[in-house]
Amino acid sequence: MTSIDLSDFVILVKNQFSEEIRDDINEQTDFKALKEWSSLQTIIVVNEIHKHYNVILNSDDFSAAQNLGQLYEIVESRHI
Amino acid sequence: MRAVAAVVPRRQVSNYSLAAFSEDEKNKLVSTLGIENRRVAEPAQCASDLCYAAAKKVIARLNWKPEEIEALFFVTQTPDHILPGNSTQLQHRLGLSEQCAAFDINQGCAGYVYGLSMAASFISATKAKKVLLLVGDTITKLVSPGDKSLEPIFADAGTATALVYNDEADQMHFNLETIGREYEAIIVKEGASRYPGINADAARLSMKGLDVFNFSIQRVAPHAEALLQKASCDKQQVDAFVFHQANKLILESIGKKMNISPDKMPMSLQHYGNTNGATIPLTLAHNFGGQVFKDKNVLMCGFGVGLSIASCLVRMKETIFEPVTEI
Repeated sequence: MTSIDLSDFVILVKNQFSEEIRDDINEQTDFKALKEWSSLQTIIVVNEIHKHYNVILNSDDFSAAQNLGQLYEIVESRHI
Repeated sequence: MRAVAAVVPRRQVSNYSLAAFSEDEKNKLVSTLGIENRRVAEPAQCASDLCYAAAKKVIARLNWKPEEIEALFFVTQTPDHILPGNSTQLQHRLGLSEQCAAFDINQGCAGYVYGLSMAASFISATKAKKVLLLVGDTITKLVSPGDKSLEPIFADAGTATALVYNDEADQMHFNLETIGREYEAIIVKEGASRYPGINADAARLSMKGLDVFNFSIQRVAPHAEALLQKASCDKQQVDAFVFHQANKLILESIGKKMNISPDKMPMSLQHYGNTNGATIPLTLAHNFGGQVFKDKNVLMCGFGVGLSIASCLVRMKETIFEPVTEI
């Protein structure tokens, strides 16, 4: 099992948002409260995580994760 | 398969014109989903009208006499009426014989391949010489106006495919799958017997977008690979892979997983959006309209409502594709 670097994960996710808000996103960010968060944005993030880490996230995972760090922990726990 | 035609409504809606989205949202929407324009039926225009026009095209192109057609299959989830199904109406409207069998199939995104499998089975069992498969929907009528998740995706189209009995035809290979535990993932819950509903707004399409996305990127590529294996066909022998036009992200993911070169994976999404069961024949007509496929292997795969996945591998001996037209 190889571990995922937290900062790489945060960069991957923040790059899916517009440049105006990227700099404000970090592991503590409640990403679901961001103005840009939407059903389409969810799919974009899920797709990137699947492409890079081969991990699938479902709606329960997004309900459980309160911030980006917690989302990282879910992805990390499933990454092979 | 002898001929394929597709007809779309004249009314074109650009996703850049949707009032519910900001400019940034519209740009992201188009670049991510890959859908720029959609064709939307007029209120009085039904799937039967679009398929009727498509059927007329293939009948004329092949110089068929309507009375020679022995069976008609109609695949739709937006019929004119709860009953009877569209097939009987079209038998009459197209001037087909009263000896013509008429079937209605309630299938969505996988509907074209399901329809092909049933039409092919019918032909094989009865040796019927000429059969029509009509697949079309006016799915936009089920989308709530202003629904930001669904409105930018769905569009309308009608198609017709002419099938003939040929003793020397290669076997058509099918792989059909059903994941019924996810039946609520894409659903119009009200308006039929279980929940009759009280007004039109209660009978709208809803979709668990993330669930459907995950299903598509996980299940479709292995499903299509399994078909190839079942047919003992090498991927290199396939001339075109035509997938249901769900959205760009899903299609890119499938293409990458199956290592399919983009030039072998025709698309129509940008121009016509997701037209439910009609996307596969519409994609064929859009990309190959005016051409005749001779001895080409085509893999077609639909996936979605059900949830269902259906794929087939067909050797097209001599198949005519009519260009897409509008009415």
